[in-house]
Order: sequence, then C-alpha cells, then structure tokens
Amino acid sequence: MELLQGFDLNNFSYLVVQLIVALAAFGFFVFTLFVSRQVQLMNRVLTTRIAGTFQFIGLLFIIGSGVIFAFSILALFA
Amino acid sequence: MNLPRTPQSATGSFVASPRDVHFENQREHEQLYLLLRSHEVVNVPWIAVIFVMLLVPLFFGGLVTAAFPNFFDTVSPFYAFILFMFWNMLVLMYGFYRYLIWFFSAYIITDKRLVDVDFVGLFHKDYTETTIENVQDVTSKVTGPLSVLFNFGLVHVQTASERSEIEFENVPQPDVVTRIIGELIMEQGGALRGRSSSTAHS
Repeated sequence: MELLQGFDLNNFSYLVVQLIVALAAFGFFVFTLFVSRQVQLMNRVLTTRIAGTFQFIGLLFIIGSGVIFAFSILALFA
Repeated sequence: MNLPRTPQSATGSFVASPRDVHFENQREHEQLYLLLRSHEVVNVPWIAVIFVMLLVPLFFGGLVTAAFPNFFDTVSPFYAFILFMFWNMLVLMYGFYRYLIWFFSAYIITDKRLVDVDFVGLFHKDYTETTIENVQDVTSKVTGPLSVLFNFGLVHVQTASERSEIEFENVPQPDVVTRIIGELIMEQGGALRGRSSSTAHS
C-alpha cells in the first residue's frame, strides 16, 4: 500500500489518454504521407487540370497532421 | 461522332470531348470522346456522414459536461483544442479520401477503346480496357427512384476479350452512353468491312 501512496489515478489515466492520442496522431501523420504519395500515382492514372490541387491538399494534410502530432507529443511531456 | 455538348469541367461526371485530360496508357493521337464518373448524387450519403461527424464534438462536449461536470477542469483548453482539431482533420481526411475514390474511378470512351478504372480503396486499383472491335453487346439499366429522377444507371458492355464484361456503374445518361458506344461499334465495324473489302479487291 505504501507503494501506491502519492499515486494519482486521475493523472495516470490522463497520461494514458495523452499517449493514445499521440500514437493516433503519429498513425494519422503516416497515413497522410501514404495518401499524398497515392495521390501522385492516381494523378498519373488520370491526369486533369486539377491534379496540382489534389497534391496541394495532400500537402496541407501532411502539415496539419504533423503539427497535431508535434503538439500531442509536447502535451505529453509538458 | 455526334457527341452531346457538356461543360468542360474537370470534376464533372459526364464530360464529352474532355480537354486537358489524359489517362494511363493513352496512345498517341487517341481521342477521348467521353469521360464518365458515377453521378454526383451517389456522393450525398458520405457528405451527410461528414456533416454529422463534424457535429459530434458539440454533442460529445455536452454529454461529457453533463456526465462529468469537472471534466474540462482537468483537461487544459489547449489540449481540448488539439483534440478538436485532430477530430476535424480526421473527418476532412475521410471526405478527401472519398472524393479521391469518386474522382479517379473513371470510365473513359475513346475512338479506339473503353477504359474502366476502379479504385475500391485508396490502395486498390482495378484497371480494365477493351478495344471497340471486341465489344459485342451494350445494354443499359436504370433502376430505382433516385436513378430515374437523376437519370443515371448501369451500362453493361459485353466483350470478346479475356475479361468478358465491363460495367460503368451509376453513370449519368446511360442511354446516351449506350448510343455513343453503339455508334463507335458501327464506325469501327464499317472501317473493318472497308478494310476487308479493299483487301478482297486487291
């Protein structure tokens, strides 16, 4: 019982949630990288005027998911 | 070829003589007659899902506050904001993914062949093509109230190639598509007959 003294269950569960969110953010970041690459390949299958727009949106998703991943890691260590 | 006049939109579902559009394995001087996709109406269910998913944080926030009044005291506002943005980005990514699948699952009719590109998921591509000479039979089917209302349906092409059939699903104006393929067969058939007769004469 002495070992458990000072152990805050609420803080621990909050930490677990933050860890899960950070892992999910990392998974999402990797997924956006895959999607962005796949968009390039799709543009080769069917090339249209808006091919560049799709790549730009893919890039925005990479940046956005990267920022969220970075903040979720920062929150973990804050 | 008697093609209908359509807007030259890159995102359209029925584009005749599309400009600035090229596809994989397109041959030199191969002319695109029709670029088809599923009718825009088939996108309505996933767009509705996106709107509902965007509203989820509002309901979720209300539910959590009702169940655990002190919940947002333990979570910093900045972290709650990160979670909120993460959720929104997931939802938008889902929308982008569905749009890409719709956009790139295209059916192309050229002066030489029919091409069917199907993306089942982002990482699964199904590419089928057949020459006009191999087309044996073309039928179209419009079933269901929505299909009748918006005039879209299935165009079934029976071919003599290894893959015996090509299906254009939910394409707008299936009757026009069937007519155009029929005219192409007539033209190609005429050209083939002309070739064989000229061979016979020589």
